[in-house]
Amino acid sequence: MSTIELAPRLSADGFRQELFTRGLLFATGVDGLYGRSATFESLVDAVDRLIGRLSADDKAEIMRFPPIMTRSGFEASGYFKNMPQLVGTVHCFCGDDREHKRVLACTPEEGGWTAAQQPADVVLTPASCYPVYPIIAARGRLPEEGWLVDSSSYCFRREPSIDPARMQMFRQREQVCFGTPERIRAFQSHWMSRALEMFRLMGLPATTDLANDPFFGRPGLLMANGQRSQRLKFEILVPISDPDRLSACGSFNYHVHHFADAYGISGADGEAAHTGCAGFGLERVALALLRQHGFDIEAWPEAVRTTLWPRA
Amino acid sequence: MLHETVRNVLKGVGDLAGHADTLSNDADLFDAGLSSYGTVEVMIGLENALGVEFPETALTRDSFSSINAIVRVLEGLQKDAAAAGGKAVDANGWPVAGETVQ
Repeated sequence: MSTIELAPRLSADGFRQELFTRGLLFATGVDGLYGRSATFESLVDAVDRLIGRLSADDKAEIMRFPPIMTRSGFEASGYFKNMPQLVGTVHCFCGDDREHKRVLACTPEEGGWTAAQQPADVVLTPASCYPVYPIIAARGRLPEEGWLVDSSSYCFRREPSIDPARMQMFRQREQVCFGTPERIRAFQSHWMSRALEMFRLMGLPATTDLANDPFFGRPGLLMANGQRSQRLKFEILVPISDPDRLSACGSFNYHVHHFADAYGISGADGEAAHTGCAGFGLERVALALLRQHGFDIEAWPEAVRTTLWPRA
Repeated sequence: MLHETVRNVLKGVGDLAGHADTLSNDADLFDAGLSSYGTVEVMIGLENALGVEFPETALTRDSFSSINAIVRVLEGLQKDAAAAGGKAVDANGWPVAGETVQ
């Protein structure tokens, strides 16, 4: 049972204004798109390092990615089928001088400067585990014991909101596990316990719960119900912007053989491998800490500070 | 008749390629290889074939667990449609629109 006392109520907009006023985040004029201050970055970095310390013994292979991934890898994932509303694509100008002149003269009704943009061979990364799958698939069959990757990337999701916890671009730190169904279920369960302990150490009142992805439309409802009934996705939840509606700061997912089928990832026996991932939204954890312990990091409880910034 | 329609739709779903014909009406479709994506394909296939729309309450894994389970849901939809005032029915038992005034 958590004995952590909740922070006083504050609306999402009120919380965001406080973050701006105190110079922790910088407004850009677009909801969900913010600059980060040195203090905020030090907090994100501390959370990232804490995850690294807690998982150091896992001996996962480190993979770090820029915030874009291959379009072919993105298309194979099925993400656009499931969550088209969240996708951010990259389009580029591929014309000549004449075409350049033409689009500069286009009116907004004619498409303006975007009139000749073509989809590029890269898209914005929706989750840091997505660039991992094609790389693992290209290596051939997995070793007998499976494989483990520690990935991280900025991620994009098109969901502008006044809630500072719902950013359009944010960082994920995510482990991706490949192997048998038993290994993935054990991985999922281990990370849920580890995450609860991690949040307890940070003094955050966290719970875990069954969840589903925001699948699109009526087919999405069927997908979401299926995901829940098979207990494929769990989240770790903390009050951030709305005490009555907890925010997910991490998730623990079992994909069955969806990604193995999509990318051609085979186990040691040649059969489709099973996969899972366990990841955290780093900015969300940072915001949960600011919300719970206050905007003055120097005044946070010593135990929380030692957890985030251990003395050498 | 509905069983046949359902089986025909299942034949067109990649997950069940090659063995939709040999499945018993009670066979577990998920054990037979039907994925979440495949389930969506079945739903859309049946909606197109029968001109119906599965209500949100029927969009569950249980509804698509076997041919019999799917038929039970479709029969429920037929009853609902009939209760809503449909009279003339087509070969599948679905209400069809009356003649339109020219």
